[in-house]
Amino acid sequence: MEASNWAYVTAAYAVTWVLVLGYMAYARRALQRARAEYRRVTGHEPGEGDAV
Amino acid sequence: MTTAAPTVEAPRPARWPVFGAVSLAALVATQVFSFLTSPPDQNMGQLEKILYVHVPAAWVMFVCFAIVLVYSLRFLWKGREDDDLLAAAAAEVGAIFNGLTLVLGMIWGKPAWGVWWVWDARLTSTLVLFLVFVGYLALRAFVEDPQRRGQWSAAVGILGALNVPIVWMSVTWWRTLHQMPSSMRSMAKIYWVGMFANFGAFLLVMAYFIRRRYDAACTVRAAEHASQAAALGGLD
Amino acid sequence: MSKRNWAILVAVVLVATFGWLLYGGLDKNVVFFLTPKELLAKGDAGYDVPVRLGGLVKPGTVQWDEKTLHLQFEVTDDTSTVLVHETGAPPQMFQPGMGVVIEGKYGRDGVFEATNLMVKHSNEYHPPKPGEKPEEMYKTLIKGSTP
Repeated sequence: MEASNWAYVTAAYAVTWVLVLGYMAYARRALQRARAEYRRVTGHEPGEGDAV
Repeated sequence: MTTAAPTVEAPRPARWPVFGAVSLAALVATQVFSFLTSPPDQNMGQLEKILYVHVPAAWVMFVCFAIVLVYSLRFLWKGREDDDLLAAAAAEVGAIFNGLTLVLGMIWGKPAWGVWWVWDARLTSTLVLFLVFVGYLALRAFVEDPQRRGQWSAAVGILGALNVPIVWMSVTWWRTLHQMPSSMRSMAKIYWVGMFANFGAFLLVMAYFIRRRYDAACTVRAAEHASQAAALGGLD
Repeated sequence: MSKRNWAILVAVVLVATFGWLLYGGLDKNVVFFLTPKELLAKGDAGYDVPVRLGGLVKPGTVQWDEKTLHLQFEVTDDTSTVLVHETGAPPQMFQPGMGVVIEGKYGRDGVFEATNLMVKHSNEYHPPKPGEKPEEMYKTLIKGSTP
């Protein structure tokens, strides 16, 4: 049998990087949306004292 | 009606993007390192390269679910909402790595075993673990009240995390197609070094993911607290 | 810690204990495959039923006909041996001395007719010994065993 297993190795690393970068982008967007909503509600930046 | 003081504060934007970039760079570095240093295995040939993503993904998923266990217990103990949010962030990241482990295992199984999937104890228990945590995440979308959501989540999260030792030991307890864990004795040192180097980089990526998801969840909750407080304040 | 949280924790501990006992009860019964010894020990009950058989490919027993796609070899667990026949190409990592798991039926003629052949790997990872190139090893995987 011929050893043409690079396709599987390539697929494995491609899946890994698509997932890592994709999830990173998703997390980033979700955080930006949350911060925008926070600014809209409170009128100030996150972390500048929310104690009621 | 009184509003409870918020237990969650919106985190200040910090240097986490820098941490994220560093962890990605570390992942590239360890992958390049293991590609350059590891010779093809006598049986697996080049497929040995999948070791450096499949095994770290599985280990990191275990770490995530251990975090879920610790923070779920802490939430039940102290009732602090931020513990619940951290457990949920770890559960989501753990589910991501769990799914990655399964897919990478299938990609490896086809050439190495001759099949994409079999219902042996290791693969089945790993799939069960994945489904439990997908269920965990779905459950959170259905429960509105934060305390209730935290309590239900903690219960499912603890039960799910207790599956981890079963998944880990499955290849030892039962006869499976999946091989037993390798040890330093059964594995040439260079593979061992590459595996742990990549595990280190995966841990950094995991920490970054959990932190970002946790920050987002805290910010969302803080905004909800703020808008509730504003609505109540408007009634006076 | 609130009463409700205590109740949740107790419930979780109960369910977990129950689950662990269940798993413990499964114990050794969860086998993905039978060894040749176990298959032969079943006697009459072992014939003509779908089972998985696992063991090592006995070196020197592999016969592979590329034209008719007939593959024949013996599977052994050191104490017992079963003759296996399959129509179709073996997985690429199939070779003498390797672990295999075979799905199929054990016929009364003493031949295990395989419908599916899988390779089982050990947890050993070593580079080839000096002088052996992996590419060459692949070429000898099947052909080297053909008598």
